[in-house]
Amino acid sequence: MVDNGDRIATSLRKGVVEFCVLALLDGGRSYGVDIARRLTAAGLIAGEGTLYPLLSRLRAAGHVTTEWIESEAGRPRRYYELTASGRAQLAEFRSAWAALRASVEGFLEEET
Amino acid sequence: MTRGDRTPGDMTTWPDPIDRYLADVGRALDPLPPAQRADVLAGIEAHLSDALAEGASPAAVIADLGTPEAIAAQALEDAAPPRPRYLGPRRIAQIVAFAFALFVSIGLATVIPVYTTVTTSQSECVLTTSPDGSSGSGTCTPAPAETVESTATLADANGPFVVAVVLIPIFLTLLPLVALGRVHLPVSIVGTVLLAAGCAIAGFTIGLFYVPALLASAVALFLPTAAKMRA
Repeated sequence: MVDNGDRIATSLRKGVVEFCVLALLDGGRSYGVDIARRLTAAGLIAGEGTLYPLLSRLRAAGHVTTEWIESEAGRPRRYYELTASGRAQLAEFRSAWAALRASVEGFLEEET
Repeated sequence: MTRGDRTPGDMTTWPDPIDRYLADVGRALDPLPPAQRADVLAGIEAHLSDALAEGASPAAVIADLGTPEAIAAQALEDAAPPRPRYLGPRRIAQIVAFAFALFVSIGLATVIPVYTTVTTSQSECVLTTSPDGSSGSGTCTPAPAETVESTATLADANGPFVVAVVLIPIFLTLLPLVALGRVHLPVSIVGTVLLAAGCAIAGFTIGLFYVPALLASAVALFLPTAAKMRA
């Protein structure tokens, strides 16, 4: 049985991971392993593999594009890059997130 | 599609455990639409080759990726239940095109007089009676020519064969409405081109009547679909 704290964290992460991916790519294109490591390190995804359905969805929605680019290591890597629509999506999330955070914190402060 | 769809060069030969893992992931992703399944697999294959190239052991790479079931669960959760198709601008324009074609075809086949035949009858002699009462003076004055205008619809004039012809534009404007998904755009383009060709060929007879349908159908190609608007 999953711990209750874990369950809360999992359901909270669910809606925001994709925007964290967009935000991450806003800093410049990146490849799967790199994105997966950063999300795992931040505790945003459990298994690295779950990143790929998410990236596939972002790609299908036109928010990211993929391209095989020769890496410094001399072998091609599949890079993900933010598109204009991805950037717009991220901007909308930023304002929605700021509003949500403010109101949630408002409630939490009242309670304590 | 971009180059990102395919792994460049030949397929890597994977170590056995990786091969098995990929096969398992592939199976777990079977319920997905083929394009999405291929894209998810391409991402995972790229991940595998990068991680292995960095020197990680196959077992560790697989453990970090997680179980095929977890990946599939995420993918299936993302594959949102089919959203209600609402009318995007393109579909609206294509419905308008279909409506134009339908009404014009019905009109042409049954109501609108396309042919106007003007028959001028040259009347025969009218015997004039001379003022003195004696008849048959022999003068023949032509009566004013009588003009009879009769009209005919296409169906009247050409018979049932014409029904087949006017069905073509209906069919061409209906196709984009029923061809959904991947084939939608190609079908829409082909339908519009054929309709334009038909208009051009029949330009002097009935082609002109279909220009509104053609315009709507052409404009539709440049309008976004509902799916585009949602994204």
